[in-house]
Amino acid sequence: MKPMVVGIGGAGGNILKKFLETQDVQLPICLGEHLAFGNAKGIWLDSATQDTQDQKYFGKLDDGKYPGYMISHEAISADSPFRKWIKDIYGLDLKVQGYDRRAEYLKAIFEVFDIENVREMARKEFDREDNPLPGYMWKKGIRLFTVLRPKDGNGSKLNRAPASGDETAENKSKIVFLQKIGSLMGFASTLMNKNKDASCSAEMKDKLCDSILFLASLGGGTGTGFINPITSYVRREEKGFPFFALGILTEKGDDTRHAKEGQRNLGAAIAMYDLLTKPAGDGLDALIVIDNEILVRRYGKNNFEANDQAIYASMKPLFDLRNYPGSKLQDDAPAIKRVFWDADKDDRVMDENGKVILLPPVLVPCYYSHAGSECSERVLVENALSEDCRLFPCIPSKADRAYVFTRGYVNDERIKSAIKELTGIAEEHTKVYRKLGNSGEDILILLRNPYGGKAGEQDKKDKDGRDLTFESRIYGLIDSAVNYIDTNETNIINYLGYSDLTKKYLETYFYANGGLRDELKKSLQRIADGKKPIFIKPLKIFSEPQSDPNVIIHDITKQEPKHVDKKEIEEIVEKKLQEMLTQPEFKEKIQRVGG
Amino acid sequence: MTMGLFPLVVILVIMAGVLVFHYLYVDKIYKKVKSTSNSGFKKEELLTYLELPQGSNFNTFMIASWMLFFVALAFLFFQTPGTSPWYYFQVIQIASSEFGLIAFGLAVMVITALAAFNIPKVYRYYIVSRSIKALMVNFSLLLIMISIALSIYIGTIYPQVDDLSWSLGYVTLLASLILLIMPIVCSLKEVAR
Repeated sequence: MKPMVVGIGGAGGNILKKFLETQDVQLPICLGEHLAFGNAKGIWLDSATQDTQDQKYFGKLDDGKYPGYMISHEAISADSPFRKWIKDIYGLDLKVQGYDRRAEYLKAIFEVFDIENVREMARKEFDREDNPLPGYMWKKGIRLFTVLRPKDGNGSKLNRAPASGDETAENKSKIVFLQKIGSLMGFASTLMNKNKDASCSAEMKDKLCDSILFLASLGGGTGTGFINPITSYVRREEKGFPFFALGILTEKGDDTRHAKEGQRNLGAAIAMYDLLTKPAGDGLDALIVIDNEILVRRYGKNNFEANDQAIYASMKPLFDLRNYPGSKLQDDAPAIKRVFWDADKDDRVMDENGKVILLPPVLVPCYYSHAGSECSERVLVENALSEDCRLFPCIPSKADRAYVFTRGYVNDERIKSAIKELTGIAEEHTKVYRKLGNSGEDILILLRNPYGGKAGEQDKKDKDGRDLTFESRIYGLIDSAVNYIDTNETNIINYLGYSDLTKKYLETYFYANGGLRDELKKSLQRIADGKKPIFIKPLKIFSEPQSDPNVIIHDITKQEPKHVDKKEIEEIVEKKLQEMLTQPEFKEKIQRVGG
Repeated sequence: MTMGLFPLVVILVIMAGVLVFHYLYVDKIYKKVKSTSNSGFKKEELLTYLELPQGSNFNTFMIASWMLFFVALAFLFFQTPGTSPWYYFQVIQIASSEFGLIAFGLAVMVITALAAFNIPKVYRYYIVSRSIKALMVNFSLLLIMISIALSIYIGTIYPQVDDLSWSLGYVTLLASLILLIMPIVCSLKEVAR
């Protein structure tokens, strides 16, 4: 498996740095291609230009830099007539910077393209491209590194981003000169890597990524909003290409880096909801979840470096290139995708049209590493499945399948047998992917859908309030999101920029019968009843059930450009100020300013 | 002068030892994999599975280092008499030429090119940490260049001798060799497990 790692948003970008850390010697110039662990490739997607300027690791991909970043809305110029039109009709700014933590805002920006009129308008301005935001990120960025790259793609001719970040004219000419020397010297090492009989290393060097792994925090803002639109966009043509996502659920409570807990939980609930309600061939192939609450407990609050390192380390067995002899083809991404979709009869659900569908699985990673003398397969499995090594709260025995990635010299039959003994998962439901190790062993167990089957599991917490089950963590999150929807109608709907039309759509999406609030409440009931899956019915902002008597008549010709009522603004500003004044840190600041 | 066959033999023995360790390493892994795998495969096939890309920067520096290592070896042992019946100063026409040493160095490079290009291929079978790579790249070439510079000095003052310079040249050459074989040496732990 050789995934293209797409880091989304601030958190996704920071974790991606770990995945892309060079395995080569760092020199002022790179004599060949950037080499990351597992020969992985990566790209950072963000919606905030400022974020990209505050760092030096990633260069601008459009300028041919690698590792590179892309700003989602760069395809749209500041004076774009289409941008102005969308702003006037819907009150949505397509070039909004990524500081807005409202998941529904980014969701709306992407989903507004579900409306045929909008697509038609986009086609006129963007060279027949009907969805310019994901289209730009896919065609100009992600796709270049995958096997789907068009034959004339030039993704391989990318240079290392300058380490210093400052590119004066003198520096630029120096870099060009050094690169010329480098290309001459690099020729020798390239020759060394080529083998007459097309050995593994020559193949590996040329091989493009066979899948995509998104990295994003769930509930952060940007990360939450990007995965679905890109996946949906690509799925229009590529039904079979493997897409996986690694979602990191932000820790509980408020912190300085993120929005309020309720708002974050709503973002995370929307993200998980959208990712897990797209049937096979329409969206993701699996969502791997990690709970930052666990990492915070392990490494301390605000220790982001250690958290990112732990996430990266846990995924290394998945990326390692050294397959066990005789197992060379077992871990190619399409094969793994098929394995992830392997399901039982009771995994099938009926959608609202009565069609039987399969929804993507949730995978909980359990990771254990061991240095020094070898230990038995059972010890490895037992440690990995222990509570300390689970990266999301769950009870392993509830999982319906286990996917095991090991590095070291282990016997796959003994791994299967240990899994069966410790979790009850049948040996035919355990798949083991082995990699050759070096001075130690590590094991990553992905537990598939480790929830359901028993009612009341959402209440299982320890005396310190820590979640002991998957149901408990997700139930708390959804419950908090529902509470936020119930108590923040003004914040959600009466956002300053939204047009009346968008407000109506949002009202329908959030508050109508069969809307998000309703569906989330049903999800809570399903969890409480011990049912699988948690989310079923896909929901979009800009779509209405035909049977709804309050159906929104969408006729852009009848829509006047938005004029915000002055009184309305005053009311909202006043309310916001009152809210802020109740916060202790705000009071403290005022007291400090007042001397 | 401490020059003689013994120091050269030490270097050759180390290189031969490394070759033995490499085969032991592959053999050990083969046995471990065989004992945990049901599928039949040959030892030669294992090498394909063990391969890892090490990076263009590292590969380029390792080729350059091994090329210059052989040049340094030749300059130290085969420039002046003492080690073997054949030495550079015997070829008077070239030795007295302005570019004689360069020609000597280039000749060594051509003769040892095959070895210099092939020896670094062994690294692809080992997991070489970034810190070891950095150590190898930062110091091996430097030590080799010091050894070459000292050898040139010894050649320049010939027939006078400078034991200290020769010893220093030898130590730096030995140190560079140890750096160049570090990935294999570090894997001894793996063999011993």
